[in-house]
Amino acid sequence: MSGHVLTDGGYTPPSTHEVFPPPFFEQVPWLDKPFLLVCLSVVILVGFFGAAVRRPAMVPSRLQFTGELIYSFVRNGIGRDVIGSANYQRFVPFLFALFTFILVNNLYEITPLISFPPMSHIAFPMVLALIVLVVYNVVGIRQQGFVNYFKNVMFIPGVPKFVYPILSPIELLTILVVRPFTLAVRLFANMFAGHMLLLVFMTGAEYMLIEVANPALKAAGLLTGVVAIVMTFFELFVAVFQAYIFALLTALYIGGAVNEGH
Amino acid sequence: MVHAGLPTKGSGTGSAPSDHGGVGGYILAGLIIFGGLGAWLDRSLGLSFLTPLGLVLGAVLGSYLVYLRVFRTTVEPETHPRSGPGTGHEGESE
Repeated sequence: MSGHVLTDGGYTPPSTHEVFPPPFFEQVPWLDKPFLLVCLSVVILVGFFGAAVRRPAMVPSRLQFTGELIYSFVRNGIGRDVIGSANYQRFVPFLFALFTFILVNNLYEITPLISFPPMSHIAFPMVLALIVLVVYNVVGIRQQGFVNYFKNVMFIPGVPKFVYPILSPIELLTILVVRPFTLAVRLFANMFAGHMLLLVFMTGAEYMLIEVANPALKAAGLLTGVVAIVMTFFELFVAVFQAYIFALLTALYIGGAVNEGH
Repeated sequence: MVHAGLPTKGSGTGSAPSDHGGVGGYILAGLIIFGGLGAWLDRSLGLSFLTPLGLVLGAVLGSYLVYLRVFRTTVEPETHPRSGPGTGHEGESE
């Protein structure tokens, strides 16, 4: 029964068009919501951490404490534990910037009135992943030398020589293509899917609660609304976790490039 | 230092994420290379069984690389008297 009601043209489910909001002005096609949100995230980050370190005190204010908490989480939990205590310090600013930037942009997804994750446009994760690609390869080349770096990447010690022609292409493709690709797709797909999920439940609940007279559907709409709220909290977890995973894998790749050959 | 491309299992938080990033990446790369090779050979030779064969081979080789890169190195530090499994990063992980 509900199938009929929902497919008779009253309810339009969200589609992929939802992640491509039209630009604000027809003449300026690049000025759209994702662009503004990403710019805003930089302002938010600079403002927040600027305020957090403005007047550092031995007994920190709540703001300073929060800022230091996030910083030490990235520094120790991601940087030191993964890269290793010998080399991690020069990469902390990069990891910290990555983590906080992605975190703020992901949290837009569940922020009321914004509720849009810019990372659901694959261009944004892709650029971040390209930066990561350049960083860990350049770090590895500088640390070990060009020939040594690729030798260490492509030739695992302790394997019979005839295996190298088979395994080396896989290794090379992994570090040059697959790693940044999976990094970008992981973030993009999670945010895109999460956004779609929330849209389906929220618009569905709204439609069934408000537009439909059928009491059974109203009850279903109530349930859908509850699920939408539950999913919002789940997306909060996803948003934080994906920022963490992105920074963590970046640290992992950098650690591999720095520590190889020791 | 541990000479793994990915941290060893003993390196604190490195365990689960190294599986996450390493396993998927190597296997995917193996699938792309050998599946692609099979597809190309299939097309140029007019055959049809080389693509699935290449995909299986790629997955197997990718898994082998995961074993070499991620799991084999967990045994190695134990043979070193200097560094046990937990001290891959100077023991600061915990």
